[in-house]
Amino acid sequence: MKNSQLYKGSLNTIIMKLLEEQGRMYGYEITQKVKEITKGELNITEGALYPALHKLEADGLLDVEVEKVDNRLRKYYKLTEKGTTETVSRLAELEEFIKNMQSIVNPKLSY
Amino acid sequence: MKLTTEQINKIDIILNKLGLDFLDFKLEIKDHIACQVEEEMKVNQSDFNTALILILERWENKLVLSESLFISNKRSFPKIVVDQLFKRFLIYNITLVVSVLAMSLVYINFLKNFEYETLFMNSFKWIYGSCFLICTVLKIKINFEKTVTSYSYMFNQNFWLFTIFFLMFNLSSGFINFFLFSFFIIVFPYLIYSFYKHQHFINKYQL
Repeated sequence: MKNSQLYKGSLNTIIMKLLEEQGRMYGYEITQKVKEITKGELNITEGALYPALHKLEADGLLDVEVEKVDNRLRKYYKLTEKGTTETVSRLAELEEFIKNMQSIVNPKLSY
Repeated sequence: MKLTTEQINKIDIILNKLGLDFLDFKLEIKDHIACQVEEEMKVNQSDFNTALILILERWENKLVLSESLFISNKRSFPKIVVDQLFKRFLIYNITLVVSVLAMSLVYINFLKNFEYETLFMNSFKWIYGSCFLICTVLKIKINFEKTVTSYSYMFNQNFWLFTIFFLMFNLSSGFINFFLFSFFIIVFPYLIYSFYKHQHFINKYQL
């Protein structure tokens, strides 16, 4: 992941937002989707992605489906009901954060 | 280009050699590496071996062997595993220490001369015996399945301590037994939890 605490703090919200849009995704797919959306600006490393996914799963925000795809087992993640509610709340929080940062960093643009 | 079963097996063998034998970590990492190899073969027209070497180089800092005394004093694990297991084992060890300290204080302050101590310990001996029997059955089931997960590792590691302490419990008395009781009330639920998580993983992946 891009070397910034700002991005790291938002990783869970990024994952949840993607899963809200896509329904279900697997680890590699998430990294590629983020890279595609940000035009290569943001790279989520495996060392950051999997602990985040496992934590969200342990917290009951994600559920897992396992399927055999292309000669191997693949673990798909999807939002649970609790996860869907939590996503709405975290996105609202993130938007509020961005708005506040905008007001501080660039006051002219915030009006 | 999709990888063949043989190529997937080759990745599996390499990951085993790198010490990644816990299936709850390996299956996901194996799929991720396989996806990256496929992408590399597609984009740069590389052959499988060249692509695999390149991708494994990218994983080097996550798969390098690391040690943690909280997890094991006998073997090393890939860094990506240690990073995730460290918190789990740390919480467990702290709980264990807190339990032993709390029970020691209870013993010293309230139970040292308590007339029912022997009665309590005799009853507890039967409870420990029954729980030990249950854990032995679970241990046989785990060994029979031959699937290694981080949870089966935790179970096995604690099962041997549970066995040694059970033998000590039958040979000791007084404070030592109370110390073993404080160990029991944490380790037994933890053994059941580890077994449950291991089975949950096997059922989920239909192994």
